Amino acid sequence: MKATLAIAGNTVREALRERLLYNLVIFAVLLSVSSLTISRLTLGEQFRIIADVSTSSTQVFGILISVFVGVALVSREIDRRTAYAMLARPVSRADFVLGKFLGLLATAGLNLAVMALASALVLFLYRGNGSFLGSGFFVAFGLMIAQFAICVALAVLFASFSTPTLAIIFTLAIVGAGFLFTEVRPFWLLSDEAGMKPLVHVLDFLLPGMGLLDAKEALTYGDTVSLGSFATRMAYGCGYAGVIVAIAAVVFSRRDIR
Amino acid sequence: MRGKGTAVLLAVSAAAVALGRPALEPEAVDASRVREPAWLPNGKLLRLASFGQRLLLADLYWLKTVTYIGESTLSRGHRLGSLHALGDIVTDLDPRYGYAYQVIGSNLSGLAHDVAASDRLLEKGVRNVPDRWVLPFLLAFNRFFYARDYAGAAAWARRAAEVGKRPHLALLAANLSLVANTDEEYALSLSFLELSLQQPQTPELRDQIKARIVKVRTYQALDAVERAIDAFRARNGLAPIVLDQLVWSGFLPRIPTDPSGGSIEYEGGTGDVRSSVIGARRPIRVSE
Amino acid sequence: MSALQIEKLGKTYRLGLRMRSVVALDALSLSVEEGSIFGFVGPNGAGKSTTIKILVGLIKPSRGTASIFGKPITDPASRRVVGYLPENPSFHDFLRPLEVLELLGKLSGLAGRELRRRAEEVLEMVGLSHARDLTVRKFSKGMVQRLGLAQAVLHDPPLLILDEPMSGLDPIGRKDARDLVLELRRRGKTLFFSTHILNDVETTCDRVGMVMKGQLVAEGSLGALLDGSVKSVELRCAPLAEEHFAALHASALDGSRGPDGWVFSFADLAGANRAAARVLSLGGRILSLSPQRETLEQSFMRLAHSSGSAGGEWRQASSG
Repeated sequence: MKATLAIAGNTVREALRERLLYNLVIFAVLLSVSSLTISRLTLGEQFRIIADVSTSSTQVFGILISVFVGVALVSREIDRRTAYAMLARPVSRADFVLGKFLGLLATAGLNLAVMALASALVLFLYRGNGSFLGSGFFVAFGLMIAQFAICVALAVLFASFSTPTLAIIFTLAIVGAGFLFTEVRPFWLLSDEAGMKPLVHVLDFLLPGMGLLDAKEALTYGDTVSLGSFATRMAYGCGYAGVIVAIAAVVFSRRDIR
Repeated sequence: MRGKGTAVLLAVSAAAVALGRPALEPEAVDASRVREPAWLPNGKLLRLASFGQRLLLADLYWLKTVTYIGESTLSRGHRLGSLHALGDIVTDLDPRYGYAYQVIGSNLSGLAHDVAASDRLLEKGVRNVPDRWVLPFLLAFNRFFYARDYAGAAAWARRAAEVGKRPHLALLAANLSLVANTDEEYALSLSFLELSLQQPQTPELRDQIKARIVKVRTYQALDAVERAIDAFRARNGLAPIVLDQLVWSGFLPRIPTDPSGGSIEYEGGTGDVRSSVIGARRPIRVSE
Repeated sequence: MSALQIEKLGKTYRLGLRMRSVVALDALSLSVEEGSIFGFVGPNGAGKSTTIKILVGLIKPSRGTASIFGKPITDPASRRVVGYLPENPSFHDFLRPLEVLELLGKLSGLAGRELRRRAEEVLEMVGLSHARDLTVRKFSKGMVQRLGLAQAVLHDPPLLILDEPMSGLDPIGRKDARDLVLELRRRGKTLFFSTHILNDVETTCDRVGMVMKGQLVAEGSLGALLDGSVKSVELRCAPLAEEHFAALHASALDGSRGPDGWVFSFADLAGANRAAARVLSLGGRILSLSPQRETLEQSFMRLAHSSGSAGGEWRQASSG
């Protein structure tokens, strides 16, 4: 466990030196701020546009950061051979994978905190009060960490056995498929075609249910979300990420570091 | 040499700008002209491909809609032919976008004169955002103002009163029922007003509702008498001299009492019926 | 108990989409006694690094077993007693040397004050104390190699597995590294290191294993591996009058006129003695008279040829 934490800590340190990370975070924050101007273009319900732009930019850039930095920091350990001296110590491959995952997740959490704070400030500037800070706000941003966990886990998995470019493509494809599946699922369930329903139920477990973890609407409409619903979704997201990390550990254990 | 080259470049470029800009004037005028959005996707397909960003896309299309309405209004005479498509896209992307139903729905009937499309969008809104009372209210307006379907208008107004917890709308619904002037509407309106009375209301409003109940009952009674007079006239060629004739000839079981507390007065010469308290049945009317 | 026991270790890679199989290592067996220095030599691509990476768990063997102080290498705990220097080591370049050592020390189970003390100690030992405030990014190749040695000995392991420890070092660095190796042996550590620079082996190793195309072609003590007999005798003398060169050359196997005198080689000491007497009688000066024995390199080339292998790329170290 100590070794895992040491690797995680070093990963956070390395991630915080990534220029890409800062570029994306700054861009996301700028978008949130610019939504104050964009919202002037509309009539009525300006809050909604500010909220949507803030949550969307946080989510999109958070996912991009998780995927790109996740893939980069794992494949770099092998490419630059920095992993050699680490893996030749009494550290199992699973420790290493878990350490990378936790470090990357902590980084994603830091990003999320920064971007959520920026969004809160922008919303506060618009509203002049903190009335938007209901359960909707915390659930919308809170559940993003579960989305990022899935992205990081997939990034670690694919980076542990393929090239960085392919790993990024695979990860984005699966995350995208997760979002897409949430939307097509109801139509497939209504379909008369035989085999469609079983397929949906298989995909329910195979693909990450990104839509289930996406609660941006709760902030937009100020919905009240029950703690139970939040906890269940969080458990699902973290569980999915955990399974992927476990698979990554197995895959990485079998890999020859040449 | 180098300085000369730069000078030539500058001269040629400046000439191109000087000659080209005036030639582009038609394009410049055209660029600011209102035009139909060149291509509008299917909102449902767009939602499938939104990768979780459907709210943001809905906002983008909403902004586009706002601009479209604004430009079309400024340019006058524009038909707003794409408004219903934009409304569908926005509300397919975000079915809970109540404000979009409201604004696009009212402009579809008001500016684009497409009441059917307005009704369709507003009804979709009522399904998806059932707690937004403005949507059934706008539907009531569409029914009343454009379709002259007063019973339908009254029904939507009652719906608006119900979801919006706005008893004023119940009063409005009752007025619409009076315009509709059917037995069914009187019955529905009365039961709805009685229901409103059971909810906690301010004393002023309670009095207003009670007064409205009396008015509806009175109108109902007057209407029954008027219809009997019409039937009498149809058979005998002229109106009865006294109301009792209606009972004798079997057109009315009895002369109703005036629910307003006065009496029902009849003028044999003109055939006009009125209540001694609230006067003749004279619901608001839209000039034909 | 031997520090390192390798039994029929083999590795076959499956490469490319068609899973073409390439044998990198073929049934290699050897054992290294505790307290000895074992030199693992062979040309580039012979399988030295593959063997070493299998031993430290970076590569899974396809066949065979190996154990470190009796613990099978499949158990990560076996690596608790191993210090490993990778070939061309590389460390996170944003860290300072002590931070590198602290990170790696934690992975070896060190912690707290003990870890800090050891880190300082090994940094001093490899002569990097002056660079403690630089990040690894600013390190020269030699400094990185020194840091590599430092992290290998950080947790004071009884067995050191070093992959090309002398590469990337300048002459001073090579001497320091050699001194470090000998110092570690004096402290009772076992060393297993690979190199393709045979000078290193000749000056430090007790035993040598030669690997060629994935196979161990020879193994034994340095003396046993080298053919100890005198191959030729070399005589060097100050130049004489030109007419004597031809006469001396006639009695020798070979002769040449170099800038620092004439050099002749003779089949045996007797012939060389006769020529030396002749030089002296002519009033010349003898600069040196040395018997030539087989070098490890020549021995290797001999073995390579006898095993039908081309010998690959060989390089004699420039100096040491």
